[in-house]
Amino acid sequence: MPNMYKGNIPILEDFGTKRTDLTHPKGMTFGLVPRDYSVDPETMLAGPDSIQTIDPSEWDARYDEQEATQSSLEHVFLRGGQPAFVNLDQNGDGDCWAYSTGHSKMFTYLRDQMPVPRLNPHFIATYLKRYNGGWCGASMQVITDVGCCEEGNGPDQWPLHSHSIGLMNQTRLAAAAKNRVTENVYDLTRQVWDQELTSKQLATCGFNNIPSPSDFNWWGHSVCQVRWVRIERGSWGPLIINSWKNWGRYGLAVLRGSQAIADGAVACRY
Amino acid sequence: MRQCYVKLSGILLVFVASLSMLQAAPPEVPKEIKATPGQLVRITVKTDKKIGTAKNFADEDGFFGELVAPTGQRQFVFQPPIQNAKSSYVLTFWTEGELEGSTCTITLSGVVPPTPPNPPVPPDPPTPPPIVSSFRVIFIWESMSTLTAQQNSVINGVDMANFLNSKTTKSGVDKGWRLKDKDSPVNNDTPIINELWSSVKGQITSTTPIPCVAVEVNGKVEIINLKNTQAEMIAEFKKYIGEK
Repeated sequence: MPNMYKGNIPILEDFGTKRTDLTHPKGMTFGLVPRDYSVDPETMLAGPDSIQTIDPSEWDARYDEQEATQSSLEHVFLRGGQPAFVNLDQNGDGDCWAYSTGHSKMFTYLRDQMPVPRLNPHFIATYLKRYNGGWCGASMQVITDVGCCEEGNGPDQWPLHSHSIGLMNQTRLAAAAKNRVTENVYDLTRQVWDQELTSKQLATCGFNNIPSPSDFNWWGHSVCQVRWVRIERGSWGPLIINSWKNWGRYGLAVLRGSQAIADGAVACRY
Repeated sequence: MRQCYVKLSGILLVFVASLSMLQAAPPEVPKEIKATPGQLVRITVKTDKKIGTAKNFADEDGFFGELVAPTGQRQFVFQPPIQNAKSSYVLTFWTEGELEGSTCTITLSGVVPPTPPNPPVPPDPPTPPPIVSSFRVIFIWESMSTLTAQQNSVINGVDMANFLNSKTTKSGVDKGWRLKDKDSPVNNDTPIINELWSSVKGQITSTTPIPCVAVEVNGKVEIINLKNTQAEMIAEFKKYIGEK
């Protein structure tokens, strides 16, 4: 089995309880806390009942068409041989659950050919006053209702890696509102659904260029799915972008195996 | 001496007489025959000697041949063409042994001058391409509807991106094209795009097929159907900016 996707993007295996330098590099922080349904009930986000899922029998044709025309989010991100932006870095804070959402909003800007602001998901964690971890749906709720500031030291920006609640003011909230996710967000991993449906929904979002923040309990980590990819014939998995600096290829990696199915995931439409 | 002179004179007379017999006269032919285009004429050459002929036209420009003739004469026929005939044709006849020859000129009346070729028609001056001061494109989609593989390729393919990146009107470094969900707000983009998107949204109705494309040229906006391939869509865009 290959250990690299397209020869240069690492593939994370089905590790079980194993830890590797790739999944748990020294010094990196995580931040995923499994969803507490008593706090965040099933109904907090809409269900994608109207999504017409793409059947697995069509996945090969879809993937091949995207490869032929270079029309996936992966291609858009890497167009010209360089990434459209440097992946975000959560640094030493457990805010991965906010960074996966921040990445997804940036990817919608990229997909839609809009200017791509460099968002600062530390703003989201600070807004919720949630410094001990969370899940992607919680951050998506904030970016939908409130938005997210850009990274920077200006009066309408949020400083890099800051959790300073004192910076939360009307000017910054107004600036954050420019980066709201403005349409209904779909919960792709409700408890009532089995993994097969979750895979179909995530695959459909991948083929439709819908970025999807995704939580992996085995990893204790939340990342953003960029695309649904064929690792080799009959083997599929999410191409994800991580919020760790100097990791993977431009922050990209592919997950493979039974643990490649997200335990929590949402769809960021625009 | 006297005997030699007589003998010499005899030889001289015989020689002179022989020379006269060898130098033949040109054949007797009519100097001119009048004819009309397509008319078959007969030329009678009074001789019973061998003769040679010549003509001042090519075989395809007139028919010239010989008939069987009574003794003492040779008979030839000539027929000019009906159309594009010359005004005159010259036939020359020689008797064997003479170099002067006799000519018969066939003079035609009623010759229709050849139709001059149609003068070349100057081509229509090329339609000058429209002066395009602005060209912007917005692909309109429903983000939670599943696009077909073809639709995804047309909207997101690299050929489309390269074309639109180079041809659409930029605002500074900002691109002149977008992909927008039909319900996207009109206030979260650059001012120019916000204004354009507001105009486009005003034209979207319940019957507008989604996905589709809004094309803006010089301030005028038109919503058109999405084509089946990137090449077809690009060709359609080129019409709007006067390119082929």
